[in-house]
Amino acid sequence: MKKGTDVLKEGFAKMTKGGVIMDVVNANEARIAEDAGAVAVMALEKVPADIRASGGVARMADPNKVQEILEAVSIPVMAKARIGHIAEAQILETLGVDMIDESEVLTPADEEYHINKKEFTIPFVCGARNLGEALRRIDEGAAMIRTKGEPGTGNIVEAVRHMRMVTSEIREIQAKNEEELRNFARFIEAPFPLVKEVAKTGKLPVVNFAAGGVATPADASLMMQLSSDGVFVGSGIFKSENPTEFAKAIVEATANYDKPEVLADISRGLGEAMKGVKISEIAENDRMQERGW
Amino acid sequence: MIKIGILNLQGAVSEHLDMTLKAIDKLDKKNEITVIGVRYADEVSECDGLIISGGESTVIGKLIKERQIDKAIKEKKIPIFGTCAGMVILSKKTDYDQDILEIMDIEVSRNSFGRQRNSFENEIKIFGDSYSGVFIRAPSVSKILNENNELEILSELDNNIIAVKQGNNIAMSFHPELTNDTRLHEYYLSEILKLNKSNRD
Repeated sequence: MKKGTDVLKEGFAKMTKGGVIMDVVNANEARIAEDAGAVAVMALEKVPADIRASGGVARMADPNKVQEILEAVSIPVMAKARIGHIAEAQILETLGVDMIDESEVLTPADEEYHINKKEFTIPFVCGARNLGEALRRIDEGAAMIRTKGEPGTGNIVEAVRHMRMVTSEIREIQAKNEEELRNFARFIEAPFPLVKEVAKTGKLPVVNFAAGGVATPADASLMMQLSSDGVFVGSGIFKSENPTEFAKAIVEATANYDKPEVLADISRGLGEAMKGVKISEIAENDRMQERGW
Repeated sequence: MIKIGILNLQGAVSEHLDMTLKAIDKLDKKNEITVIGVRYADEVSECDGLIISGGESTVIGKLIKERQIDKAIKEKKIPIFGTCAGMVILSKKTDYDQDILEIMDIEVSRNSFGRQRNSFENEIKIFGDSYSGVFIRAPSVSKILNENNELEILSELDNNIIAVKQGNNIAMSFHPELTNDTRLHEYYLSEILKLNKSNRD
């Protein structure tokens, strides 16, 4: 019997395709997410908008909190570890979490190295702003990639930038020959074999989700139309006026992303979305997407 | 032309589509079988067979009900091949309060082997042949609800029932769509071909 193989890790991520993964901070929110049709929940201490507001060092959630959420729902539970924080990841694995998000939303623990994710039995998801970053994470063992976006802002602009960047780089390399691919791999600081594979298949070798700034059903549809395999929603649900309604609406929007008439119905009278932030209002060194490399 | 639908609501849909295309190719039945992704009741009711992929059974079940795909399936008695979440959806009963099709006489226990850290790959036997079994937070059959109803156990692993057939429906707790082996998809397609032939005769 084999455990922790690439097939099992990447396979787990494939089972979330077409779905919405929601940030939750307690058992009650986790149940609202499951009832609304989330494919998984992300257990954390505070949603990104609150992390941004409170400042200080953001760390892995309290094991009690993770436990509470694990026991509350039947769908998979993910949790965030700090970039490079091997011990937090080990603790989360021991608790029984199904996938770890090595996340820039938390304060990085290592400014040079990301976690060697191949050492773990459970899969990891990591953020990326471009193809080079995505392939470096995959090379370290990430079984799933997501855009970084700009977490906790309710502003979709950065997630769009990151998703478009990855797809346009993939389109670009499909026309390149072997020599050009080698150069390109050096230029984007990604392993050549992975660059070659992507050039051949025309897609990332793992599932690719949107994250960071999704606040409305239309945002979810937009990201799906830009070829996301699914959507993470952080603060967008539980920082909105009607979390239960927003959760349902974002699930429906993801499942009906190419049906504008359905989206119009879903979006009607939802109440106020989370309050957004303009990216230019955030000082450059407060931007979470700049964490990790 | 026989039309196989891959239920495209959530989960590992493209993997099943690829495998089914390869299986059609291997059987050399390109002139007899086509395969497409289907998302709505009217599309489903045009299918001669339907594959329900792995994914989150709570989500897939909810969407099936909302879109009244359950009615389309039951009205036309469409033969279904369900893997992992697909097995949960096909069952009459699960250990969780959720929307299911209630078609096969099985009770299913979800995440029966544990959480993701307990997901595993293991050799399994079906019809005397070996296959590579990929089990991801996999369910298993905890109880057969009606022994008289021609329910056939296709495979067991350490006393867990992991594959069953009843009438024209097949349920498996693992993911043949995550392997490179098309034999189980070929088996399903052959069953559909047989059924269509006997319906014509």
